[in-house]
Amino acid sequence: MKSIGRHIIAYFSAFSVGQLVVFLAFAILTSYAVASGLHWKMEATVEQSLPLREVAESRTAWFESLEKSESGIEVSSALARPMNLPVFVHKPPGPLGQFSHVREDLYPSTGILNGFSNEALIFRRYELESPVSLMHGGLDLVLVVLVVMPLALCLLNYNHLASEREQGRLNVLLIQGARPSEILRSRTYQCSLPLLAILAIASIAGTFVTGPLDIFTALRLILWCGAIFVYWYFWVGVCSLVSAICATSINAALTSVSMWILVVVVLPSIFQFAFDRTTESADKMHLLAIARSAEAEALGTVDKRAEAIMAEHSLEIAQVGAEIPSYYRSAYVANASINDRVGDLLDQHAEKVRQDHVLLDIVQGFSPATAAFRTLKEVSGSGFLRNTEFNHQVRTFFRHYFERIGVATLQQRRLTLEEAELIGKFEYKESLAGATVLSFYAVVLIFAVVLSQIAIRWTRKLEDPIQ
Amino acid sequence: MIAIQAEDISKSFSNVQALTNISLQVEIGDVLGLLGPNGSGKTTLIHVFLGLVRPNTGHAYVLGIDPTLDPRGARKEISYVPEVVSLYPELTAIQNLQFFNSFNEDPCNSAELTQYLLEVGLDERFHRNRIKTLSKGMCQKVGLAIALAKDARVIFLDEPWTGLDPESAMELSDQIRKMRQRGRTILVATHDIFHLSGIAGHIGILRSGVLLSLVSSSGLSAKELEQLYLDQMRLED
Amino acid sequence: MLLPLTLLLTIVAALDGWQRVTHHSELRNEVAVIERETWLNQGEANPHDAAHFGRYALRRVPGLSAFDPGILDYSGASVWMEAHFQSPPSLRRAESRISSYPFVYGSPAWVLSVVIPLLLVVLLFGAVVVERERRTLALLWIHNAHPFQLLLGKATAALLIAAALAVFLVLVSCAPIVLFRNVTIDWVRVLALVICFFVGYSSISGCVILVSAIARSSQIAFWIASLLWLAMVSGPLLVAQVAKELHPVPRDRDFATYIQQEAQAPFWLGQAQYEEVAIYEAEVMTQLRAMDAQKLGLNRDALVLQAHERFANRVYDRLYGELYEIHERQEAMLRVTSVFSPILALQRVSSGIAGTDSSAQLHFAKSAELHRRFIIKKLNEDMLHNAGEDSFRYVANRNLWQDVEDFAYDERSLREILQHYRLELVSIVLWAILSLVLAAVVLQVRAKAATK
Repeated sequence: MKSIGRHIIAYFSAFSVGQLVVFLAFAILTSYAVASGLHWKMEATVEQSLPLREVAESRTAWFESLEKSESGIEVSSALARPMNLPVFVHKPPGPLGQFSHVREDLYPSTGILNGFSNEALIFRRYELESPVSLMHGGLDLVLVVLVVMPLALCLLNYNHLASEREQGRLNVLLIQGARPSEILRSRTYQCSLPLLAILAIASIAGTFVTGPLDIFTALRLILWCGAIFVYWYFWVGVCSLVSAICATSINAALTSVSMWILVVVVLPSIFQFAFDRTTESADKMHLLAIARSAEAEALGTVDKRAEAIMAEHSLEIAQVGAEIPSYYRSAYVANASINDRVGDLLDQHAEKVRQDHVLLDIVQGFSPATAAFRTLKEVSGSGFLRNTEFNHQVRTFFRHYFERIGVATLQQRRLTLEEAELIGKFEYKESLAGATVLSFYAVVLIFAVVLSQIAIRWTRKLEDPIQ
Repeated sequence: MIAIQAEDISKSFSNVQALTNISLQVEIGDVLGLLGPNGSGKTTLIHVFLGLVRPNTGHAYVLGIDPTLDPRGARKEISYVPEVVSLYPELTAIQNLQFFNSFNEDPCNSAELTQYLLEVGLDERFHRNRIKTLSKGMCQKVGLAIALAKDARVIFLDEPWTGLDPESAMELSDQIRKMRQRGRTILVATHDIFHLSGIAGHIGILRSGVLLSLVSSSGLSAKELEQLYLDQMRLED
Repeated sequence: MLLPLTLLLTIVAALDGWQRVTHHSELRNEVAVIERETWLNQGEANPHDAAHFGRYALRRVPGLSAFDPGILDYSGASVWMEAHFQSPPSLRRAESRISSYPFVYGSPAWVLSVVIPLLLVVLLFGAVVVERERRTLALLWIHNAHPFQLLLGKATAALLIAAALAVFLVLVSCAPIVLFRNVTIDWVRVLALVICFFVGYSSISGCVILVSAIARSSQIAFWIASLLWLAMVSGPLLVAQVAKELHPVPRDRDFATYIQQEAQAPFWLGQAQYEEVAIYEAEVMTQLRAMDAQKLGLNRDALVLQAHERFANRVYDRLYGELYEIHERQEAMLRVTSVFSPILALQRVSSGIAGTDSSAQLHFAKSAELHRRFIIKKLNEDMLHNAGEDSFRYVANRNLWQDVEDFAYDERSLREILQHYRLELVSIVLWAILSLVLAAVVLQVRAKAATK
């Protein structure tokens, strides 16, 4: 152990104080990102467990009333109505959601379905988060990998060869038999590997802390670490190239910062701009307008408009008590009508999103940072795509639910126990967009290898006499 | 046998003619002193032999290898001490020596490296001091130790006496003499006539990239050498 | 390479901003028309049904949001206005974005406030330290050059760069709006933006020159200046995260429960109704100078409905007041952070001038709530005076719907905005002055040490 300790000390003593400060700052940021992610995951799990319990209790009460009613015991006509059967839908934090939790609050993760829901308003909620907090987001591991790691690599590696030249050591090194490619490679890896190690340790620790690992999470962890490695390797290639090409430190500093801006800022911005212009996302505002006119039309066709509206307010319904059936029927008819109109639009939107993502998978290689972002989000289980998948699964379930309660509601009767049990519960099934991940791995790895090779070839020129 | 040879070498940088038709030969075991004022082309000529600069015309050979065509091959036979020896300031003297020596095909062990440092006159108590705490002369000695430890057959020294105190300068001259005795071929570029006179077998005088004369220095005192140098300079004026 | 890249980025961001604003304005106007048509064409209905049918208050898209979208995409674009319930703004555009890359907001303001400071770091990190490395600094001191002279030269160059960048890039950013003319912008605000960015760049340049004066080598200067930039850029992320933890907003389900328990249940199921209705009735009677509501033919249900609005509004004032107070506390932490980060201060002032900051959003939310109360009151009063005995069977027609005005609100003036951000403005100016003074002091000390 002592000798290992000595080796570690010897290894780190080879770094300058500045380099150690960069490592330390990086380690602190990484630890903070993972710790805040773990805290978020814990909070989110607790937050979802409360309504889950409440809904479970009200479901139990609903079923008890139905059982009583089926066994001939008289119960209030307001109880165990099909429209009132609650189903809790929730999207648990992603398997590695602790690494990419920023702005996850933007997307709804829970909802309670009943007959008064419609497809436009399944996730109607109070949007209480401060927009300022949402905009600034926060620091998660994805951001550290995507933005901070490249900057740290640029700072640590920008002038390995330029500084040798400027300090007047390069010629002596060449005469001594050193190859610039060796110097470049060894220095670059010496300065870059600690960053990779910090990220890997943080990822593994951050996964194991959450509990025992199942096979799917383990697989995701491997893909996650692999994605970090590929992106890291890409940046090692970029830094090597900058270091090989630039003759002076100032030039190297300018070029490395330019490369950082190009890859982390400019390309994703252009990519985003081009993508936003070529793909038209379904804006919620637009959806709202359609749902609104559908609602107006639906309310125009139901007999008792006031009832349909009042039926949503269960508090009042419960007070009214005995005279039940038509309230439910009117509300059901109104919502069915809204679903018909909005459902098609949502289907078209979901299909469009799917197509857009296929397009993104194909072109994402033009912006390695965008590809890395999408892959890290996908592998961790968070972001827009997962939210779309959740919406899709909930809507599919909701259609099944709405259809099952329909006949009984229209006939103004209760469901049978068997019919009610057939509705079942909702459970979110995790998915992984393999195409996104694979195209990132393939394209960015090729970029990384090509950049490294160009850098190595370029350094060979340094061995030749200058013209 | 010829160790260093230049055949009609010319080199220009932009509009500046650095070397003009230089031809010379240095036999194995000889010491050639290149004398010349600042900007006369001494360092450029050394860089051509080191394979760092490609001449516009002509050829250079080090032990028969053209460093322009085979720089790595030529450099295996060469040691070099630049005018200003730059080392890693955060590392100690011995660590620097170890690092530079590690690129050799057959690196020395630490006892041997310590011996080289002692040989160039660096007291043992400075071996484990960081370079940034050492004087310029001490750094120059470490640079010389790096060249010695490579055990190359041809050694190029660029202005080796610059910045050294008299005692260190004398020690360096002794060192060069010892290397010559061991059969090493040495090319020393300098404008320090006094130190060169005692060690060089031949003297070449450069001015504005032209080799004005190449003479044997045997039997020449420092005074005579100085007179020769000044005559050459005046002649050209 | 860096300058053309930044210019390219600014042009792309400017085009993107213009496209975004055009698209969102068109969409908003389209939705506003549909919303209005839907409201007007709802047919004959009871006014209270109509009050539940509700309306949307849509937020205007400010022209300068093309330059700085601020929090616009992360804040609700509309407020749902319905009887009995106050709603916060909802429908955040960011939720619908298919690929939302983090950290980069792609707006001209982001480029100007985040990327340009990095450019300044790269351009100026060697300002003083390179002179020292080349040993020209020692030579200057020996020849009796005064540190202030040196600093004046460096600072003048930096300020010229800052002025050129601020004027040029703000104008480039606004160019598409001027060229295509489909969005209007206030040129006084554009001028204010140019001035703010110039002062902001001056302060950032001052900091970099200070770092350059302190650092021992150009590499260390580059590292410190870059890390300083990173800290200033990532600081707000961390502070926003901490602020969220320290001042958490209530969960939406809890909030819904509070509303149910405090604004609905006590009135509809508890005893609050009797007292509230009695007070309201007395007020109405006083206004009408009458004694008996029934004799006047006033509808009792409408009286109760409006009494509930009054009751609930007091609860909402408190609940939403507390919510907005939490938002304000979160923001206060960022405001304090901006004192330490001229970049953040610049961002905050820029979004304020563009009308896309949180105070503009709050202004919208409060205006929308006032409008909701106005609509509901109008509908209830119609029912109060015209329903008679028909109560919920009474129906009103298009004439009443037309009487309900569309939601409109006034933007805050530039003066109000600048007053709101006075701390940030003062801090930017102080940074500029302090950093240059400190740099002068450091150089003075160095010069004395060198000439001793």
